Amino acid sequence: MDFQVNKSDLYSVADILGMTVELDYATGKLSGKAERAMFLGDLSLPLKPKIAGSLLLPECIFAAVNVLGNLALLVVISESGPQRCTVHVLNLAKMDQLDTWLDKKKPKTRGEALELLGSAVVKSYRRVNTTKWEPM
Amino acid sequence: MISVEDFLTLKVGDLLEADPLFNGLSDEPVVLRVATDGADRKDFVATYLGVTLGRWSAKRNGGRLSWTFK
Repeated sequence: MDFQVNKSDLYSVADILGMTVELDYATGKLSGKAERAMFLGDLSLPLKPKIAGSLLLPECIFAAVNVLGNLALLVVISESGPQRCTVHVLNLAKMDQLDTWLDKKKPKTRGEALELLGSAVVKSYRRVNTTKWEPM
Repeated sequence: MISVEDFLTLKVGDLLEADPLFNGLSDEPVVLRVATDGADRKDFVATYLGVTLGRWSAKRNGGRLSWTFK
């Protein structure tokens, strides 16, 4: 694979998701899951975000993450530029099945993925630095 | 957690805000909207950025509330 994954990108994504993200170069797949909690005051609701699918291309890496209910995320890491690392909030009610979406649609770029997702994309964020994200 | 007193005043359509779901990414909170309003039980629809997460149900048992997620 020509494109080398920057570990700080993976760590940044892992921090947001609250999970350890692992890259298997043999299969070309990302994996990761976590157990965390959402809070309403003292009340906590367990969350178990999990990477449901991934696609590693020479120019771009995609990870589709199941969060809870209809909420999912698409994480995209591209080769370079101000939008190297982006996170897109998805509404599963407006798209095909998440775990097979990347394998079936095979987007080649971030732009193509977002175009294919259409109205399923609720909001997008780009990583500014290792700790800061901003809306796109 | 909301108090029993707060619970009793909630009506259909009222909103509660939980903590942000992804700290660092966005300050957007999880929002709970009262969907059904009973004397001892209320159902809430939880959403994040308008995306449905599921339904929470709060039941009053005397001076305490017990919560379940559906």
